[in-house]
Amino acid sequence: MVSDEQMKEIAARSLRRTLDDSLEWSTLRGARARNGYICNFENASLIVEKRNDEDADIDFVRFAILNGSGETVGEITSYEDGDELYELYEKAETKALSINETLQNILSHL
Amino acid sequence: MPSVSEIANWSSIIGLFFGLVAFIIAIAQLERTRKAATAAKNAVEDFDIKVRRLYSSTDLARALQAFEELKRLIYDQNFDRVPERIASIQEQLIAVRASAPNLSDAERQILQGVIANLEMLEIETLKRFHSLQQKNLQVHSVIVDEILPDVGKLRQILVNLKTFNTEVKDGK
Repeated sequence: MVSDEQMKEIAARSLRRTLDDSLEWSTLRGARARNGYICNFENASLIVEKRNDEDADIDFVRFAILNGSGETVGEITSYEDGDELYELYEKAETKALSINETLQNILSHL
Repeated sequence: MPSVSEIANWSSIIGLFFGLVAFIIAIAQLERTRKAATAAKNAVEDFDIKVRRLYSSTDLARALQAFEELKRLIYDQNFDRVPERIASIQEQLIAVRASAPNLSDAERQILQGVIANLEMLEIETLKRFHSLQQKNLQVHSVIVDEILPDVGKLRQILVNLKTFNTEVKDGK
């Protein structure tokens, strides 16, 4: 797994590329369909999703980087107890911003 | 009668002339050799591309066949074997991405997307099976419906690979 700092840097770089190259985001499949997006690069994927920690019954926003084999190699989680990223995501969701607008906001805080 | 020096001069000029002709012939020969070497190199590269396309097409066709088996496993509720089948599809898709020549960035992104979707399918299959079953939903068709778009995209890549095969074979 990559360190938190590395992960932030990778996430920021990936987000910037998705915006610069206008890459397509798809909604996640299955049970996570309404709660997240995935963007695929040639050899990696970036997931942004909102989930619920069933044990603690608390929501969190998660950024995950998958490698070329689909395995999660790093993630950033931001919980609903006042974390900046979570707040940004939540606010974007409330305002029904597009995924690109949401990510643009998030990018400036990474 | 020409003097000895005149004969020597003419001999030098004629020698120079033949020297030049020989030089030009040597250059032409070198150029022919270079072209032949380039043609041989191109032929080897073409052959390499054909072989890699053939292997990639075969791997992709196998992956698509494995998708059919995956659907059958899901319909038969044989979930224990799902992870194994998913792993083998992922392996084949990774091989295709690594070896298929001239894949576009978009095609690589599609392959990556399918690999990532399969990973998530594997993680969630059992969990979702139970939760969907509790809601009396048609579990199998829900899961299979999620696989179908990926199968369609992979078929398109397979068609592209095979089409290129034909083009190479036709010498286009």
